[in-house]
Amino acid sequence: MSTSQTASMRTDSSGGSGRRLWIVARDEFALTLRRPMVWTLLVLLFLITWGMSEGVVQIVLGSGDASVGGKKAFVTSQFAVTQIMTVLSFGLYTFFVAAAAGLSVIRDDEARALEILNSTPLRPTEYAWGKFLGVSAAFLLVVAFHVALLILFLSVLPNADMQESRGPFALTNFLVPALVISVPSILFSAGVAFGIGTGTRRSILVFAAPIAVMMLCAFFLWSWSPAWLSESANRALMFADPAGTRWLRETYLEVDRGAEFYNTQRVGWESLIVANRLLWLAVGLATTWWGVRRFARTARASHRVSAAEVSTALASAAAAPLPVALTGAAASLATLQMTAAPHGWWATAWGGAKAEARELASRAGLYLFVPLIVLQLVGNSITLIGAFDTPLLLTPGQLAASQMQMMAVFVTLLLVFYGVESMERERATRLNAIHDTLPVNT
Amino acid sequence: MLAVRNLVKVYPGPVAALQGVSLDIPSGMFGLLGPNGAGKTTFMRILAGVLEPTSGSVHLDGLDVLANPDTLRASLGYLPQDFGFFPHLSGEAMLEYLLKLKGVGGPRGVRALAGELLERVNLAHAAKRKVKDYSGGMRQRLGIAQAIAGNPKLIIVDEPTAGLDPEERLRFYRLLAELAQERTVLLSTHIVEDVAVLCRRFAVIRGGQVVALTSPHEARSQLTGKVFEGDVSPEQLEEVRRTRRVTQAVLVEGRNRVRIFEESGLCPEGFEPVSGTLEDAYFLLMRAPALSASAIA
Repeated sequence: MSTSQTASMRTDSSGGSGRRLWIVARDEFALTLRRPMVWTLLVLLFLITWGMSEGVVQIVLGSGDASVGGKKAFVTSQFAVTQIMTVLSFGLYTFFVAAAAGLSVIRDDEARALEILNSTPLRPTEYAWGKFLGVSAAFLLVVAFHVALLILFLSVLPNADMQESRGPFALTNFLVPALVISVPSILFSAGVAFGIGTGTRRSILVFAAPIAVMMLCAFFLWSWSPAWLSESANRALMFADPAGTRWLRETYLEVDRGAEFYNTQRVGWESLIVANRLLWLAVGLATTWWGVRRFARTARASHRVSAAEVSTALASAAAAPLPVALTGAAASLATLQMTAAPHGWWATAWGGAKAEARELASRAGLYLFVPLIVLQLVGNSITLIGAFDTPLLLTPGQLAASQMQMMAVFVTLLLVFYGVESMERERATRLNAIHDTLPVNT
Repeated sequence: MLAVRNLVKVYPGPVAALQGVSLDIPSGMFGLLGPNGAGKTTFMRILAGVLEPTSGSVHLDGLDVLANPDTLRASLGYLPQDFGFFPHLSGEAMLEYLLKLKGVGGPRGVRALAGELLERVNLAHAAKRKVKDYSGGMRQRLGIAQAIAGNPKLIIVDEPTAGLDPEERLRFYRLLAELAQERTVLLSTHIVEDVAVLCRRFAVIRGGQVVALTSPHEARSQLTGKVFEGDVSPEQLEEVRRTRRVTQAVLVEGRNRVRIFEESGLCPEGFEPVSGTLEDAYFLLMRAPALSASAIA
């Protein structure tokens, strides 16, 4: 490169931190929107919304059933849209958001792109916050698209069959639930997954938190409500629900108030639910902050060692033997008396199973998931109640019958996690280049 | 001038990767030669500001770069040994992204500059292809393009010719030589030829210590009249190894062609005098019990 050409390049540090963060966020935003998973989510949202407009899909948490006789509950009421947003934000969006946000930095790390990025003026905090903002903005755009779909299919496009289920159009019926329910839920999911992924760089842990929270919600917070539960305890559980589902159900849906009420009234966003949404939004952002801080601390590795360790290391390095010249180069491989005979199917499978078991035993996630599952099952069993809100006598049969479904879900999820992880390991560690050439029966 | 003083790096373990490296690296091309695991990459990563040392100091033209890493990065071009790019971006988009992060621009805009840089590294034809479809050599060239962007005062290249074919290697030599006319270029390699072709001066690092600081010419001249080559049978080879300072021994058509160094300059029977190469000097240094005073400037 000639002097004149290099001189024509200039380095401009104006704008600094904000400019670099914007560049990273913009790239991540564009990348997230190009991801097949986002398009899959968009297609699902489209199909669900279209199904709702045709009356073949219903999302209800406990009341306002529009299919029964009498006056129909409007699918366009704020209550109906709030139910839709509550269920979909936590039941559907979470997994897509967690995967996209949690793997954002891990993906760059696996692509070994961080070494060059670290040598640029880009600071680790700018990079990590830029990533989070980019991926979050992309999913907030998906929410906006979702709201637009709801308005289009439920209010704008004519549909004679559903005329009785449509109320007068009110933009706030769509916007307020999206802002109060969906936005905090998505930022919570994105923040927790991003924080864990960025802080630990362990992809398997990215999915642990959303799954654990989902299980806790589905099998406890949203369903467990015995008659003897005090009002204050119930409100505490409402506050603890990151989805806001328990609050909606217990406050408005548990006792049916009639279609007229749901069609004409708006959801009363009392201080409890506002505080709940702010809390979980803050939890998401706090987890992100933790992950970013941890990432920034480890990005330019300092490897703190004590003065004693430094002395020990320097002393042993000084005493290390010199490289030996060309030893053993002339020794023939024949002297090793090597033999080669490919193993049979059983021996190969047994060897693979042993290696897999050792790998599995070293997975930290397993020691998190299994106690969580046991805790959940035992907790649920202890609190089982009968038809008249009386405690049930716990017998082995009763326990098996009541927990069978939940157990099956948990174990299946574990198998899916570790099965996929096992298949991906060879590729991630780039062992497959060697592994695929071995005389091993696949 | 890059001044490095008593640089120590101890990894948890503890393992000492650098044991008090001190070097003055002038403007121009400077080589860092050493075997795998000698501490070259640790040294380069510290200079590039992506790794913190345990102790020591680094000054670039008087600026303490360890205390002011942001200032260093604005004037640094770095090609790591092990690196990657965003696979979803095209080569041009990736380079444009890095140029923007570095704050580098050109008279005709960032995109045009990215195109010109890609042309410089012979990658213009693949500018629109996704990085994930690049070969190892193409990725290396894209790495070189981002390293030379923005008129950096200091360019650090770690094992840059690995993965390049002979033609690309020559092209890269020329590019580095041109760049070194106006700035400090620090080249780390275990390929002796890289240093022989490119560097006016170089340091040899072994076990985290600098064992020689010299020039290719000085290193070769120390060997004049002291290197001999001969064929020996497999049975004789062990005896030669025990009694002589063997620099290289290769098996050619069933016979061991051995090069030895004789301090006295007396040619042993069955051997003939040959010109000493930089590789001979390198192997001697690697196996020397102490620093060769004559080889250190």
